[in-house]
Amino acid sequence: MNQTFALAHSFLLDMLRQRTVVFSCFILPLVILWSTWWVTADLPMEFRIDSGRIIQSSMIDIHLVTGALTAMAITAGLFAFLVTAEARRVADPLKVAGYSGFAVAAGPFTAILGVLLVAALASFGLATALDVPQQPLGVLWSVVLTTLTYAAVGALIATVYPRVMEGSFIVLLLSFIDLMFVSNPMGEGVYMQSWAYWLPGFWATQIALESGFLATDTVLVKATALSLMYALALGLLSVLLRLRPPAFLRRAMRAA
Amino acid sequence: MTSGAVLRAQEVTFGYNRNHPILRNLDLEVDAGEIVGISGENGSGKSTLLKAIIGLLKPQQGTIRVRGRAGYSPQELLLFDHLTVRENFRVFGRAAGLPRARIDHDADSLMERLGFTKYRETKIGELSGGTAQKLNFAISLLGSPEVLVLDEPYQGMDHASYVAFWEMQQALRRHGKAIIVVSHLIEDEKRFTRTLHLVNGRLQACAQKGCPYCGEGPP
Repeated sequence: MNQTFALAHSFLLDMLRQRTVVFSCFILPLVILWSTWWVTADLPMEFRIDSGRIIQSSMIDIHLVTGALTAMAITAGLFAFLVTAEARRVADPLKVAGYSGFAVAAGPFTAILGVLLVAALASFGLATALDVPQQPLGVLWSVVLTTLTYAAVGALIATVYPRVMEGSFIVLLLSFIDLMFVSNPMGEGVYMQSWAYWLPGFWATQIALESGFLATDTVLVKATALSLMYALALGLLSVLLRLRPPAFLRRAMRAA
Repeated sequence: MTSGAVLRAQEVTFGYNRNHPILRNLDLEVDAGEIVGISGENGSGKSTLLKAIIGLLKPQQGTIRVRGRAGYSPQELLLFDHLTVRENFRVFGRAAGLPRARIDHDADSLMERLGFTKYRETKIGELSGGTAQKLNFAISLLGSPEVLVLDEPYQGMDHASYVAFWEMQQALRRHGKAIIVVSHLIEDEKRFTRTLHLVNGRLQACAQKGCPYCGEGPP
């Protein structure tokens, strides 16, 4: 465990000393969130959630509830991507130097979780400072689930394709399209389409919407189970691809 | 392994694509106190061989046995770019099980000998290529490994550092360390106890004068 914490500390220092990382992971999501919230009209909206419940709200209130999720998805996805890409780069010398395989894998993972836990609490605090949801704990739980799923997305992308520019762009685009558009009731014509259920942020958003506007928990269990399974599946896929990369992936990794 | 051998590779075959092995039934035995130079064309598999020796790549056939710990200085700089030189020493020294005071002492001594003490608090990303390479090499020496595996270790080093590097190699050799160096520099051959050429996936001993793999051979 000492080795794991020593590596987690090194990865944290290495990451947080980079202005580009701090800007893209922690400041950019807030700027995007603020600007989106600022330009959203305060028009009434009606939408349903997966359990069939109908919610009446306004566009700006929806953004207040889902905003923390979007910011966290960007933060979690980008930070996990950058740490995993860095971990892949230095993994070999660390192993040769004497770190165990477990420490080399768990060190960056601990760094990611530590930072994202703090960021999730900050994100939740910001959201509840702007508006008090019906069930604050439900909104907090949805932020945590989004953090886990998008951290797994970032780690998977870094495993498959660790180039910083392209990988960051994919994470940013995916989280934006998912949480600001498709999984969000604001996404007219795409929200609740059957294919949208497969997006990483869909089920966490369902919890956020119900917790934000209703005092019920009709989607909580199903959405929690599916979100956790989603994160777990992506995490296991990353580990599997790392341990036994198929030939096409080995070629792509060498090229990257 | 023979009594003095600290590294023995037998019938090693490895390829990133199983149908096109880079190393084919390769044999290598290195004794304590040897400095073995390995040369070969670009893409001949030198770096692949070194990675197999230190255990980063698993041979598809054959065995590699190393007695004791191996230190590795890779061709490219694979350190934490935003940590300082001292912090990188501490991260890698800790892996060798050294206490912090001992790491700092050894790091100071290595920096002094290789002439980059003034960069001790500089971040890696701000170092010149040559200084970064010295650090790469110095880190491979932490914990006093029995076998040193160095992949083109003096790229970008200035002349004084290059001379210091070889003085250190000779001292390590006298202390019974086995050293494997990948080098393209023909003038280095006189510094090796043996020179091997990696040709068609196998190691060939350098025939010295008139060697078909190194032109005129060493002076």
